Amino acid sequence: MVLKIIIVIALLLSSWAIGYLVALRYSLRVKQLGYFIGALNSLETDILYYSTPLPVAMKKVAGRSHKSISWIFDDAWKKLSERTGLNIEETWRMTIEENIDYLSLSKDDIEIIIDFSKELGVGNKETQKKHFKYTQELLMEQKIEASNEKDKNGRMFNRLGVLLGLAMVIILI
Amino acid sequence: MENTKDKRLKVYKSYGREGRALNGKEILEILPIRLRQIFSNLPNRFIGDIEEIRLRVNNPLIINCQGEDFFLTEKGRTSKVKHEVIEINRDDIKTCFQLVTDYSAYALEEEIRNGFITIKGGHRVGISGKTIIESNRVKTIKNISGLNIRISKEKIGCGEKVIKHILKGSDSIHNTLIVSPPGCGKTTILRDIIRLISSGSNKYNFKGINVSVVDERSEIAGCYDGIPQKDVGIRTDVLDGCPKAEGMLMLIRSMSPRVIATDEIGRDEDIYALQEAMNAGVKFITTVHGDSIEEVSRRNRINSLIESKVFKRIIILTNKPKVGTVKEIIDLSGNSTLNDELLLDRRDDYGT
Repeated sequence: MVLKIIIVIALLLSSWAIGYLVALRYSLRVKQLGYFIGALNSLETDILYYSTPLPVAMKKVAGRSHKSISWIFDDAWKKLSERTGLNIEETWRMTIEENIDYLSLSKDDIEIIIDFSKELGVGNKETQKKHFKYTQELLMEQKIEASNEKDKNGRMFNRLGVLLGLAMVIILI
Repeated sequence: MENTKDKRLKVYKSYGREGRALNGKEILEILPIRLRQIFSNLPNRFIGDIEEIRLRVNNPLIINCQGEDFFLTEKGRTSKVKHEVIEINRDDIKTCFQLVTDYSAYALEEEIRNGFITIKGGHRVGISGKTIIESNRVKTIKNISGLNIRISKEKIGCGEKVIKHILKGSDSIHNTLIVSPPGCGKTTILRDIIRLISSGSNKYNFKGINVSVVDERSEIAGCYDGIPQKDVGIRTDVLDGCPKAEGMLMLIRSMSPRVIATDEIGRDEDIYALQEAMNAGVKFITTVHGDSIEEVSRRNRINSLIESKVFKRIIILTNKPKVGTVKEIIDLSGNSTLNDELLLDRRDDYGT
C-alpha cells in the first residue's frame, strides 16, 4: 500500500514537472527578449553618446546585462579583441550559433539578433541610431508575441502536466 | 644603436615571417583572413620593404616596394599573369575597413571625413568611395571601394646625418625648411630631427629642448588614442589632428615651446602663424613639397619667407639613388651649400 502511494506521488510530481519545464521555456523566452532589448539599449548608449569602440562596448554591456545573456556579449568581446580577421557579422553569428542551446529563443528571434550585426558599427552615428531603433522595434514585437504565447500555452502546459499525471494514476489504479 | 637593433630583431621574431614582411603585426591585424595567408609566403626580398598595400574593388592586390608595384598570387609569389593574380572583392574591402576602424566606424566620423584613419603603430589607411555631401562639406564616405594602407617607416637615426647643420649652440636651433617631392622620406626625417632636438644628443653636446608638434594629419607622431606611436623624443608635446595655424598659436600660448614642428605648410594662415611664432622667439622646422629651391620659390608665400631670410637652413631631399637621400643642405644666411656630396641613409639595410 505504502509503495503504491509513493509511486502515485512520484508519477504526479514528474508529470507536473515536465509540464512546468515546457511552460518555463515560454516564460524564459519573454524574459530573455526583454534582457536583449535592455542590452541593446545600453549598447546604443555607449555607441551614440560615448563613442566607445565596439569591442569595449560589448564588454561593458556584458557587465551590465542579466547573467542569462551576458556571456554572449562577453564572448563577442573576446572574439572581437582577438582580431581574428573576421568581419562583425561572421563574429557575431559564430558567437550566437556556438551557444544557441543556452538560449530559449525562437528561430525568428535568433534571426533578428543575427541580422542585427549586419549593420552594427558600420556607418555614422545617425545610421547606427536608426539601425538600433529598427532592431529594437522588431524585438519588441517578438516580445509581445512571446508574451501572448506564454499566457496561452504556458498555462496550458502547466495544467496539462498535472492532468496527464492524474489520468495515468487513474488508469493504473 | 646595437641595443635597439637587438630589440627590434627580437620583436620581429615574435611576429613571425608575415609580421616581418609588414614591419609589425599591426598591419597583419587589419587584413582579412584570406589576405593574411598571402603575406605569410612573401619572397624574402620584400621583407621590411613594403611601403604600400593597395586594395581596390575588382582589381588586383598591389604592393608597392621602393617605388615599384608588384601583383601577388594566392601563394604570395609575384606574377604578371592576369588569372593567377589575386583579385580584391567587395567583401575583402568591407572586412578590412571594419578591422581598420576596430568595428567602430561611428567613433571615427571625423577621420573618415578627412579620408584617412591612423591605426596602431602610426600606419595610415586612406579611404576612397562615394562621398556624401551636406551643406558643402563631406559628411561621410560610403560604399568604400579602395583602401591604401601606407606602412609608416620609423627610421631612428636617419636625422643624424643632418642634425649637426641644424643645431645652434647647445640649446637652440636654426629655422629649417625641408624641401622634398612626395614619398622621399620628408616626414620620416622630420620625425627623427624632432626626436634628436627633444631628447638631446651627447655627440653634439646638445641639451634637449621643448618641442611642440602640430600633427594635422597624424603623420609625424602617428598618434593612436592620443598617444604618439613613434619615438618623437622626451620633451615633445603633440597636438594631434589640429589645423596647423590654429595649433601653432595654441601651442605658443599653452606649452611654451622652444621649437615648433609641422608638416607641409603652404596656406596663408600657416605663414601668418609662423611669423607669429617667430616674433614670440620660437624656432621652427617645417616641410614643403618641391624638387628644388627654385621650384619652391615660385610659390609667393614661401618665397617671401625665404627672401626675408626667415629660414636659416634648407634641406633638399631626393629619392635617387634611394628614398631618404639628402641632396643639399643650404645655409641661407651665408648662401652656401653645407654638404659637398649626397648624404645617403646608411641605415637603410638596418634591421632587415
